[in-house]
Amino acid sequence: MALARVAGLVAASPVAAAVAQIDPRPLGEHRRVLSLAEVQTAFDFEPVFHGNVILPVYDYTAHGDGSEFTLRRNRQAFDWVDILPSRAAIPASQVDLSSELLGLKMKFPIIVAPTAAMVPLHPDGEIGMFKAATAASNTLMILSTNTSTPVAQVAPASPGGTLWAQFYPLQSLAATQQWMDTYQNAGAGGVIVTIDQQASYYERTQQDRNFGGRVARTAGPGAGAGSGTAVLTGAARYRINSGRLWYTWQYIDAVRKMVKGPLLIKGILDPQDAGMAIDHGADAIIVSNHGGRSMDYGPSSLEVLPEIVAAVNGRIPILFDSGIRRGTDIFKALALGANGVMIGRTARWGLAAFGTAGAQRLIEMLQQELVQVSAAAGCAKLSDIGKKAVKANFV
Amino acid sequence: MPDDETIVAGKTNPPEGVASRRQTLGMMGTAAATSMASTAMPALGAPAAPPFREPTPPPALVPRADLVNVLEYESQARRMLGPAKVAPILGSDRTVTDRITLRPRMNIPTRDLDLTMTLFGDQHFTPIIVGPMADQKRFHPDGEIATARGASAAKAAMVVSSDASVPLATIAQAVTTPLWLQVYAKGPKVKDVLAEASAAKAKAVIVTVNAGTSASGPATPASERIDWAAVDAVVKDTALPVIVKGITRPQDAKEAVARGARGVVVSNYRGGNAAALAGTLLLVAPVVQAIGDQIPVLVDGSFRRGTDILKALGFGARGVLIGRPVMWGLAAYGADGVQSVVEMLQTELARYMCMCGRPSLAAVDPSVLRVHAPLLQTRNNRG
Repeated sequence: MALARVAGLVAASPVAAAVAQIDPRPLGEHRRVLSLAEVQTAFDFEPVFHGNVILPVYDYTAHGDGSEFTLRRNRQAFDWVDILPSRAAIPASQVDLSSELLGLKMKFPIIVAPTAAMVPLHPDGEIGMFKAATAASNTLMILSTNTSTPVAQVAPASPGGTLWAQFYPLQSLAATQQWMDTYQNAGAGGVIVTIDQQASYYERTQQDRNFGGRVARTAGPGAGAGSGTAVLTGAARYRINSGRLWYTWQYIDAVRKMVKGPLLIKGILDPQDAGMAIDHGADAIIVSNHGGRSMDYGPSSLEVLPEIVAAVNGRIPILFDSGIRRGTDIFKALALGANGVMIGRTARWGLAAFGTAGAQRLIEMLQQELVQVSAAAGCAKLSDIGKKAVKANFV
Repeated sequence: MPDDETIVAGKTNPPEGVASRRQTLGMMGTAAATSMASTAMPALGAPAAPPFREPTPPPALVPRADLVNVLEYESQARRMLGPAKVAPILGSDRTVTDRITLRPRMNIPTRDLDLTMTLFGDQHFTPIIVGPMADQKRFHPDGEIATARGASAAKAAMVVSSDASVPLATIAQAVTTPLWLQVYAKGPKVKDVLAEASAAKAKAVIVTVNAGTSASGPATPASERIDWAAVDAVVKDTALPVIVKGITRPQDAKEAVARGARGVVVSNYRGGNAAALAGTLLLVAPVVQAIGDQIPVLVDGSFRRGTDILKALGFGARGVLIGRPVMWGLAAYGADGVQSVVEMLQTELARYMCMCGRPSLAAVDPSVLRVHAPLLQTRNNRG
């Protein structure tokens, strides 16, 4: 009885009235998730993506090798390049960044990079991403070998679009031939061979997995000595998976013979390797550190781009990836000598946040940003975006 | 460090389980408990029963297999030892290593990766050696014995401090890998210690110069010069190879060679419970250039990752001594922790050797490295 009386008093008081108000903070409404109509930059997609997926899926996209020094450096490197407005600004309507890459006409030098399993990101999956890329001015999409939708289903899903496919070397040439047949029969003309990530370890992903024991853990380097009595040799003695440690340039020769269309080598970070790729028949190389997922304490892709451009010396096109989030980032890579760029994580943010429409919006956003910065820097066409447009302050 | 928050929480509050149990006990009521105790007063003259004490459960540690890098062992050691005991082994310097990147190379087969090396006639599984740390019973009840077992399980050589908390002969029985002994140039009874080393079949003697007389003593001023006469005495008093530890300059390294040293350790450790000192990576190359073709150059100081070790090898070091991380493993998990820490570093070194296309230690040269100016302040590119 007494309690009820106290409760009545409290309910009648002005204090309780204030408590009952819905969120008195003036910016309260901004705490909700952005809608597709509200996103302003690629960065806005990331928290929406984070909110949409379960932790292992987020981790797979977000994290890199080891301590993620290189993952961070990829972003830092863009800050070390300044854009110099050396020409008079022009209206954005005068900018035409179309080009031709290995026989493929592109309206913008932007390509969707191969990234694994998109269905866990969003039910639209790879088909949604391909439709988005096609809708965004016929952007080329490269399908990952670890796709969650078979290439035979993805390729015909977006009429008029272009799909190329990526794969990791397989020691069996017969198995390699099988992949090549599958790709080329499905209509994926260009083939990308990824040669990095020989022994990578997603340490941060592992940390999150172990946290709370939500996911069964896999044996990491801390799991102790290899069990069993088998006598280990070579790299296996040091508890690393030696499954990818056989890679050779001779294998690239063999793949070259199997690929009728363009052959691209992805994961080049050294001028000597660029030369080797050309010697072994690559039609283009992709300067990439796998978005910081390949080797911790390796260089950012951007800081090694100029020396690779110098070594290649125009013999074959050079694509660039790792860390692109903005039009200015793309502009910097192009100015340092890349013929085009690929977006991996960023495209995934778009798809995971808002499905096909999100991915399309994200690609178009980058295209627009690139046009805007090109106009501001007075570059009317792709060949205007050159060394003079930037000043690199790499340390 | 992602763990920092946990660590801070661990410092101020006891681990979760402990806290809740104590609270439960408190809620039962101090008043109630005392009144019960007073009614059950023992008869006059009988010895008073000791007051009831809740046994302190060991701190909750993360399962060892869940740790993914060596730095995570530091927070576990902190949780285990508490802030005062862990202080001498805390800290890392990442500023120097963060200025150096590695050059990845592709399509070079490394399946037959071989990290073995030979030093003073012994084959080592990897160039990673457990460094000397004094009085290891400070960190684990088994002290050096546990370290010796862990190092041996990881097939790594071990350096025993002359200030060890366990007799050298006992430690020698626990190891299956090469055992080295570390002495201070100006330490007491050096002669006796050296005799002990020979008796324990130690394979080399490290003489630490430029340091205080003991690990817990005061730091020697930086200006103090190396006491070469003391080094001479050690070289004279033992038949074992003598390694001079504490070299930072090429001219000192040359002097060490002239005095009969069979190896040097580039190190800026000056004794005492110093915080982690600046990384020594950039001191290695000049020393190697001066004497590398005559005697092996080893290095210690803030090696926390396989990439750090690969960088030292790139500058020409033949091996790396690991100190604090091994103690973190020891403090938290005993011999198993020591083994895990060493194995983790071995695995990481192997990993990055492969990705840099270096199938053996002989294939590691300065071309694996790129040294950069200190990192610029990053701007916010989110505009």
